[in-house]
Amino acid sequence: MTPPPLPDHATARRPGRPGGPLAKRVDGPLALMFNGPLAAVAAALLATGCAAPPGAPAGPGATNTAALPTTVQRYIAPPLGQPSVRVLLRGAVPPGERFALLRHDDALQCQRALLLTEGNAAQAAPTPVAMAAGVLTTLEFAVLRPGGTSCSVRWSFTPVAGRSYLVQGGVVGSGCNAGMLDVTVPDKPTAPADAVLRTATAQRCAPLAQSRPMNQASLIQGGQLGGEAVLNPRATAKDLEGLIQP
Amino acid sequence: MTTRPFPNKQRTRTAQALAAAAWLLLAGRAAALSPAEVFAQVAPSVWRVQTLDRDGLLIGQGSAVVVGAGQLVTNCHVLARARKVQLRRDGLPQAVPARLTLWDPPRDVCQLSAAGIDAPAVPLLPSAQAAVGQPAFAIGHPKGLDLTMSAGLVSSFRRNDAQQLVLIQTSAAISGGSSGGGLFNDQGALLGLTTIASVTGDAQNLNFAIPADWIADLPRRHAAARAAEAAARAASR
Repeated sequence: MTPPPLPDHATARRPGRPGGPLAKRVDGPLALMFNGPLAAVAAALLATGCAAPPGAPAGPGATNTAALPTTVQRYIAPPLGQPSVRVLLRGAVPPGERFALLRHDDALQCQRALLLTEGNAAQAAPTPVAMAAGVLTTLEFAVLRPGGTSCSVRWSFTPVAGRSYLVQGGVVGSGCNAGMLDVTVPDKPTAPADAVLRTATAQRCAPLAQSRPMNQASLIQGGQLGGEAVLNPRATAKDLEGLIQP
Repeated sequence: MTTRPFPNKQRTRTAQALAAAAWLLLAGRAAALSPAEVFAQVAPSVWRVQTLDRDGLLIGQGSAVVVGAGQLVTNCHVLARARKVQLRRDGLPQAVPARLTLWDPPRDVCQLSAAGIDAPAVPLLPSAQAAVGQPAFAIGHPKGLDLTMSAGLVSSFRRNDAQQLVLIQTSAAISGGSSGGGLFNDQGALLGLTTIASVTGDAQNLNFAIPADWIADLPRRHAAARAAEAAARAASR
């Protein structure tokens, strides 16, 4: 089965302004040793990525080998009967590279990453996993490359019990991208409205209040405000303050 | 009172009149302008928008369409973070300063006032009168290329979950700098403002315009939003 495409926001561009795609491509400043099991590497990835001090090099392939933990624990699925969601992961990486999906135990601070699932070029569709629902959750899609480079995308949302979420990620140039869809109804995937991007180049993760919506692209889907159709319900006049005369 | 059937001659005249009226209606409907005629008609009303920072440096460019005397509409995202905005046309030595007068960021439509603009207003086409498959022409200033016209069709209508129209999809090509430009029908009426273009390698001619209805709504929605803001400020005092 071909997985549904990433939301349009991953690629749409507003033509009036200079700049890149509305969301998504993230070139990580991460670097790590890539000799051990993926779990260990993933932990290293997160540690190095999250620990990058302000002002650390932000370009792809930047090196930072400080304080690499040797293991990362696997996430333990909630017991039967507890509110949970199903998480599916699809990755597209070149041969020799790996990808992983991690869940931060401290969703606000993006700390204490636990491995949800993982894959590689030969296993692009790992087995679905169960994850707790109803609480703020920060996920991270990471691509791990031989040679000590990697990249990752982090985002937060509150999973709704009983639903299925598909995370799709892959390599784009020297960076990587990721998107998430609610695929509870498989032929009608929707982008969770509350997902916000937490990836930040100079800190562990962007503060929740300052994070921008992950699914801006749903611009093409539009929205509603006060019963009327709008393009982007979250848009404000903040960017126009310099032109608004009192 | 008895009814009298039309005499044959009168019936013939009536039929001829009806046929003529129908022909006129059809002819009126079908009186499409050529692309060159559309361009000649509306191009004077499409301007280049330039945004400047506090030091007067150029920070962005887009397009705008004249919808009233000295009044132009563009996308709000064209104006983001600007301290000044001005309008330009090739051949005009001086930029025309403009002022933001109405704004509706959730709909990405903003109105500028520019005293120096003496161009005809374009008519707005209610979206109810637009149809998939009809010709559509985008005119704007992509990449700063003054008054670039591209042709296509109305490809589809994009609606929100409540089935309200959000975007008019078109195959008329647009690029960076087209934002706020006009999407016109074959009679020079404004279908919408070109707002979003798809730029992926696996997509072609997937472009989107906010509907002209939203331009007509702008004064009402602007006033309502400002009133709500004022009420919120008063309540917080």
